[in-house]
Amino acid sequence: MTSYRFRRRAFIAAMSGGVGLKIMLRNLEGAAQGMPSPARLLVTHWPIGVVSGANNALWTPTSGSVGGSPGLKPFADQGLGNDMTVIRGLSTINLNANGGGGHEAGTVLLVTGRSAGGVRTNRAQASDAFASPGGSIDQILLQNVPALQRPGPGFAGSIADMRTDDGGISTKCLSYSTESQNVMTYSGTSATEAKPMLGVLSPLEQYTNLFGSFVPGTAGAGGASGTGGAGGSSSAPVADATLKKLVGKKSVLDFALEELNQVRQLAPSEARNKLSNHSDAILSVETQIANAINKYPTPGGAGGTTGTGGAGGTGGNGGPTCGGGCTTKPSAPPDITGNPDWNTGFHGDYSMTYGTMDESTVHAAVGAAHLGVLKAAFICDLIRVGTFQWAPGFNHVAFGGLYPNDTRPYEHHPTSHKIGGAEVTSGVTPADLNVNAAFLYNVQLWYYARHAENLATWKTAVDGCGNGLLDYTCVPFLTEVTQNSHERSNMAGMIIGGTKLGFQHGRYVTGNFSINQFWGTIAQAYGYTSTAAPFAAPLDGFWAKPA
Amino acid sequence: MRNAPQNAPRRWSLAVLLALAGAAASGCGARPIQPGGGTGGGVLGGMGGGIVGTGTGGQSMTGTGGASGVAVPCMGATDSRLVVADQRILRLTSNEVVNTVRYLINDAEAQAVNSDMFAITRPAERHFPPSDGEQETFNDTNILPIVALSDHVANYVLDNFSTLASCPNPTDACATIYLNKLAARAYRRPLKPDEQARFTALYTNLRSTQIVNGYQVTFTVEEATSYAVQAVLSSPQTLWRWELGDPSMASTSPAGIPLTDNELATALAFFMTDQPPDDGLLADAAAGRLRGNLSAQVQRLLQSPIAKDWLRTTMEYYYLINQLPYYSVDPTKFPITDALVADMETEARMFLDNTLWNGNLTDLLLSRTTFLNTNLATNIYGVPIPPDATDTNFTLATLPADQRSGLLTNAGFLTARDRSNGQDIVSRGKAVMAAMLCLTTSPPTDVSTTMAVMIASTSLDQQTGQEQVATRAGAPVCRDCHGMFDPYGLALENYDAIGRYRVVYDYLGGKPIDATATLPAILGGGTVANGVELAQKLAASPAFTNCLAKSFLQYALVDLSSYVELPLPPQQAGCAAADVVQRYQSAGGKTFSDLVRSVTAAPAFVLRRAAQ
Repeated sequence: MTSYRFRRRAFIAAMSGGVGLKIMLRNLEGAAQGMPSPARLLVTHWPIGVVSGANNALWTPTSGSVGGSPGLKPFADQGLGNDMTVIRGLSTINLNANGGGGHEAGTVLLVTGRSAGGVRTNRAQASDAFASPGGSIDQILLQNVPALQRPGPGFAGSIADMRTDDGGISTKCLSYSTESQNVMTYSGTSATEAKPMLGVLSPLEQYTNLFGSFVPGTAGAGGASGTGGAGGSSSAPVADATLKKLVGKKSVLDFALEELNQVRQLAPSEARNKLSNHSDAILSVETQIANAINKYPTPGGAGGTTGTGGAGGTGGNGGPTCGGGCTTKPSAPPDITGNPDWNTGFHGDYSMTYGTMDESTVHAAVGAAHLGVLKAAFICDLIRVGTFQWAPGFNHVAFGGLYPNDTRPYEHHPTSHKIGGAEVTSGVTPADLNVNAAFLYNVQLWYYARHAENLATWKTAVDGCGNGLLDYTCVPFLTEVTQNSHERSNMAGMIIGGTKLGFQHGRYVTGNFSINQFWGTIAQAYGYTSTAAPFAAPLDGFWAKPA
Repeated sequence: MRNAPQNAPRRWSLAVLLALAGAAASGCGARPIQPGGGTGGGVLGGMGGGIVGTGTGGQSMTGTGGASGVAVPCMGATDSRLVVADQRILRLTSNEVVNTVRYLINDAEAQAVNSDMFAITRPAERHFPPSDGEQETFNDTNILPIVALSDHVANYVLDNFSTLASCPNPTDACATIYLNKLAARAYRRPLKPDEQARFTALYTNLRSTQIVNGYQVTFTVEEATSYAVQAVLSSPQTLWRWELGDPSMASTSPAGIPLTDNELATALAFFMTDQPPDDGLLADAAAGRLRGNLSAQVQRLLQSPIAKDWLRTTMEYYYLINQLPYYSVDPTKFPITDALVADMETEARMFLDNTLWNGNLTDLLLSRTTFLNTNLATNIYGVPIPPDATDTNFTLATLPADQRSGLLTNAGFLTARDRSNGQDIVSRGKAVMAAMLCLTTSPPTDVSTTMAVMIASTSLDQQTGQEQVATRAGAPVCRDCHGMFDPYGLALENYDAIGRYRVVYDYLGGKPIDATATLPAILGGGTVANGVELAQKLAASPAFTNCLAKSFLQYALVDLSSYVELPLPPQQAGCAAADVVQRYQSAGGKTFSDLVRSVTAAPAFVLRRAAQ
């Protein structure tokens, strides 16, 4: 059996070296000491359910939330047992897939708690579910809980790999806006859907989105900013490396746009259309860069001593901000990114189960970079709500060294179709699993190890209020199906972090819980007690109001 | 079906299933050749490019004939149908972008960007023609890998400025010389005055101090150079191939606009080498003498290792050899391993290399000369280990005349399209029809037939090949299409799923194998006893040459929407491909090089229709 620790050393090196964000915090004396941190929410996802063995032999812990469980060992290894609750028994079968596929509808139902609105028109398959109007849980809470709101974007959604079988949206989207839009269904009629909010694939792009205009030491919205020094030279300060890079890239893209404009005039009509599309594509990137440049605040006069920022009292949206404790702008992550989705073709030929290169190291590094950016954004209190998805249910990430006695890099989802549900629910030890089930099990362990490694750093990280980051951040860690055979009952899930928000951790809970009850359980920690759909009455025992 | 429960299907009587399907179905979707029936519904004229016989790139063809369904015969050198592509622009394939980086920067950086991270198509996933499956246009999503790739190259230039630019000291003058040379190579022609002015202005502006949002932004020589390189790699002159031609020199016979010398240099270079034009081509183009010197340039390139290597690679794509790593054969049923498959790929590559450059075109079907290592000799072909062969050294071998003949009986060719269960008559039959005859059919689309086929497929291992073919021939919904390709697969029944020769069915208690097959009309009907005789029939048929000519011309024209019709008299004239065949034969053509020369001399290659 290949250990999931196969790439651990490389991953740690990547995390601490090139990927780690160095954030220096300074506790503002008398300002942040003893102040509770704001509540935060990070909805996270892993693909394709679990391999639990016969009667959950590979899953059920013997103590606490994860103790003695082979399948949950990565969390135990990182000492997260008392910071999490593991659940077996979540279900979305009370909701209607309305034609959506297992992974497609599974993801939509999971994050919205509503039946799917139907299936959208798609280039290949009639199974790409769209979300009913109303929004996903994270967006509903963001809209209705003032304490979760922050100025600016206020939210960040990230994804480490976007490849799907057919370009569909549902499996690569964890967030849906509370705003609606028209959608063309697969049958050609018009319907209304909650607007998808796809995650950002590039950690650097997400970093730019969040920190592009970040000025360290600035108080929260309620604080008064310091005044700049008087007089001094009028020469403009030198741009930092990030701004320089943005300006350089913009010059490149502006050049390309001008060349396109010139050559388009010489081209026949079909060629002009192609060049117009090219221009539009360049413009979309150029606009993002221009926006990031524009977010850089105009500096005050140089010379003199700039005033200290305000002491960061209660933020404009209520509750402490603690952002003033984030006194240095975090370093940018490396410019690595996951794989975007294909634009053409159907990639659901499950006879091809392996790729030509092991993508796990890059996948781990991208995931770590994303979680690092989100961590920094939480610490600097730029956002209090986020999502992170490792990969869609159609996971095409290829893992080398995880298939027994075979060094080829097998792809996660295609391999999951080589066997049925019986193979992942048989066997009492990992050695009993058949080779394909063993691969799925190893991939599950891999994702758990990566997630646990990252969240372990959240556990030790201190936020701007001087409190443990994970203690004030609830991280639901969910999956869209029970297992490879696409069931949606008796699903696994976890609630990690948020002990200071009232979550009663260190438990393993089984039962039959609707996803609506689950979200009602989460929402209560933020003071949201409505039991109107998509929420339901909270489950007992998971949360108690903090003292 | 992706979301269906993953249970084993029940075994139904094949005859019952097909009868039930027949009650509801309306045929497999292919239309047989219809002489005399209105605008003739021709047999589909695409070619399969997928694994296991599933085709990509095949297209439905409506006959171009007149009221009787018979095509108007080609009218010689003046026929407008000799020109098939319009004035157009073509996006560089991902591999061409990598090769452009190799050409502009160096091999190390090209290897670094040859990665999934930049959406570069993996070799094992490439099709024939290589543009198939590639992005034809840009959009918000697929622009990102190109931006990321150009970013990577720019960073490389920044880190290696003095070496790449040959500037021991970073001066504007030195950088400018480097950049101007690089831009011309990237654009594949000299820059026009306005292009040069804009490019110079870009560098100048980058080197000037800018104030952006109140901050000073200044770039060093090295930084400005790296961004200028990135700009060149992002510009449309680099990323698109331009084929607008010179209308002032339009010909009338046949009607078409000749490509300019620079455009022709690009077309020729990418066709023969997958790389931008080299200095030799650019020099002839700059002097305006390339069109007059075309055959000499073709001959020069044909003797270059780069062209030989690339053209052989395209034939690997054509015969799916590159897709061997994605084999479907079940390793629990057959002794197949990654190492064995790698050996097959090496053998097939060496066979193609030897045959294409040292033999006749028909040797692709007839040659018994190949290159074996100990593994293949012993475990696949069952022949004595050739002299000096080892596990890693492949040496010359001659295969038995009664068992082997060219690609049809090559282990790699067979394994690349064989199914997991070893029942391969259909997949091989369709592959032979597609690769050797350029014909394809559509799979059935009605649910009942599809279900019947799926369930019936579980019973194939209980029947001999003859029985399987006879069952399908007896089912109305099956026989029309299967009759077109089952005979080819049946003739290859003497080769198991990994290409080993066999005379009995082990899994049927040792029943002897009868590979006798009655061929379709396109090969003259008649009977062949085995794969060797099938290969001989194919080699002797004009259909084989027509198919290769059509396929190679299609590749030369890059874009499948500039469709090259297969010559299939009397229903399809296929004038452009027929012209290539005629050039090939009138030059005494026998070799692959003759075919390449014929393609590059054809009006279809050098002329374009006026775009609407």
